[in-house]
Amino acid sequence: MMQQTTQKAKMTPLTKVKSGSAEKEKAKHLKSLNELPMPEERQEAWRYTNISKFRLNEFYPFDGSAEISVSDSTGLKEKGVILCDINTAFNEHTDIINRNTVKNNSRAYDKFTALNASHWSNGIFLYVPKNVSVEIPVNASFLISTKSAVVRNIIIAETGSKIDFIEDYSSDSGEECLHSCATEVYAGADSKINYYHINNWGNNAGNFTHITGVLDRNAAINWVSASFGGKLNRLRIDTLFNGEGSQSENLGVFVGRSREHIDITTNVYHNTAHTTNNIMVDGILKDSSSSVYRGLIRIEKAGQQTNSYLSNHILKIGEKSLGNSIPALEIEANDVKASHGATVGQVSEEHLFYLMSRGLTRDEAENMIVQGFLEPIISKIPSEELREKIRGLITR
Amino acid sequence: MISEDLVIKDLHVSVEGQKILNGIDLTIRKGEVSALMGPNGSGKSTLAYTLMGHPKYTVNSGEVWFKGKNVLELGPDERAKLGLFLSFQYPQEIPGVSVSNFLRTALNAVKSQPMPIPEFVKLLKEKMRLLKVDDKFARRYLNEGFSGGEKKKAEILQMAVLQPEMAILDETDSGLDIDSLRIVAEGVNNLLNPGMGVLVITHYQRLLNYIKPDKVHVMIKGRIVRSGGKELAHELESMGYEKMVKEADVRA
Ligand SMILES: Nc1ncnc2c1ncn2[C@@H]1O[C@H](COP(=O)(O)OP(=O)(O)OP(=O)(O)O)[C@@H](O)[C@H]1O
Ligand SMILES: [Mg+2]
Repeated sequence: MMQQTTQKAKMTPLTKVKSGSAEKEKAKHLKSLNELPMPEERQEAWRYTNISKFRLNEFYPFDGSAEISVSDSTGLKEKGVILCDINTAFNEHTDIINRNTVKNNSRAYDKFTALNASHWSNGIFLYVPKNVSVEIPVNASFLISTKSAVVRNIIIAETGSKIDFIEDYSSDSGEECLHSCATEVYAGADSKINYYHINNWGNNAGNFTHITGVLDRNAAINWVSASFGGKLNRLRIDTLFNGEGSQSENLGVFVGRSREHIDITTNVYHNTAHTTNNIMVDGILKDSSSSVYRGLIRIEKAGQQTNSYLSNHILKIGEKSLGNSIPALEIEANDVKASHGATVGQVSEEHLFYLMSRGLTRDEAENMIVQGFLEPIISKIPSEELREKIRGLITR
Repeated sequence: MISEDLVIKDLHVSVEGQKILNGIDLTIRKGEVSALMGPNGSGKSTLAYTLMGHPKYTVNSGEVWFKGKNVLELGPDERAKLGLFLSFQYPQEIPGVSVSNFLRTALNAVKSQPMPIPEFVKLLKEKMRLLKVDDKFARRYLNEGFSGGEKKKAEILQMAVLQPEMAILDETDSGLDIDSLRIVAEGVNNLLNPGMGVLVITHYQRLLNYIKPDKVHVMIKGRIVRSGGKELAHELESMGYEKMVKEADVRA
């Protein structure tokens, strides 16, 4: 169980510096950005998202940045925990970064990845040394008020360490804006990370967030994500089980409203034996909103004795809403347990009538059904404060 | 003077293009228990749903009045706020919504002033004791995985908390074991007051032994064919509907 979160505690802005050592690498990706074509809907990773309509060039030169605030870390310094701007980290902790980033054997790379890798301007770096348990969750909030913001975060939990990390993203207006974010999470052997991601975008925001978790032996990452808003709100979480005995749970909820499009991907790659995964992503579609959920479970030959499960349920409230679900299994090993299940359903008129016959207005009845639908996932979130926060965003 | 009774006048209702109710005239008085009996498929639940405003049931003609309001012009939620209540023959299961959370929302919806949480908790506890339901009930998801009898108890629990002025109980007795039937019936009796009217839809005399009806009406093929006192229910128990059905056929 997590302690009371520090949401209400003082948040301090993270000052931004320039990093010399990262510039060379950025230049390399700039070349790819210019050369790579815009992705197309027929590509597996973009199915049911009409990406060709997205006018990326309108956000050129992609030079804005997020306003980042983090919770008080004074008590953490003595423990050797580092919480700083990513540029500072590239200047001062290059060795730690390089030692970890080599472990990221993800093959995902496209124009949006290149955009991030070539243009990131700020973000956070969080480092937890060996065998250090951070009892109070670390909070980071990212506010976008510029036309574009390109963010890169790196989180490293060394062997035997433990940390809870909460991030929330929002844009402060209904203006068109582009947000690109790449986060790498490195879970060292026997480490445990609870990672909470909440986004709440304005209805003209385009969000492209790609989180990659890399797990060493017996490491655990528990993801919780909650996605709200955005003209195109894309969240991808990749989990790479690189160490034997590593495990992950991934709980996700989303709500689409008006003409929003929510695009969620959770891919898991079981690259080694005895790994465990459980994904539950449920969503609500109101009005004329749409969504796509893609979930791949890939088990390599080496991934014997893997347990991997995935479920995705979507409830349509809006008659004009559209929900798509594409779960997929790719299994090379022969001694595994894996399954996926997906449903897309319309809210029941009988349910609505039942609740309304007790005095609830149609809106109140819908809200109650929506909350109830997501409750099996929400109730699993191990922090009352976050549960309440997410419930509040659901019925906003 | 505005009538406090529920008054149904020449009500014709169809569902999916098929005529089910063929001119119902019925007055349900406050302070009284009325019973509605009749063979399967005669239209009893159709009447109950129509009174509550189920969107599937189309009113072709007729009127329903309660407390000076033309009920048929109101949405289901507005009818509930006016004091109408339906205990469903087949209650819906609502995943993820706890009984207590739902009831608190519903109570705040029908009452003009929101009730403070501690007061609500006390009220709910008291009513749960009245109906002899387990404390765990309040935290369970509404009707989800409830046994048939538990669902019926949950309906009456809702009625007890919401304290409606006009309650329609659609086969609340079906699914209840002998002890539960007595407990639920006692619960209903406990709630009865001069400001409340009840329409009990049932097939069996057994319930009416506990909840004594002032009036008994018999519906056949979408019409009220007979009305009388509680002796009518006894007559039905021994004679069945056959004769009345034949008479109804002759008239139709
Ligand atoms: N939603 C519906 N769709 C189609 N037919 C319906 C619907 N509701 C009712 N009917 C039909 O209307 C008729 C009356 O049904 P109703 O449920 O009102 O009967 P009832 O008197 O309550 O019967 P029971 O004693 O079995 O509960 C039946 O023939 C039934 O099949
Ligand atoms: Mg019926």
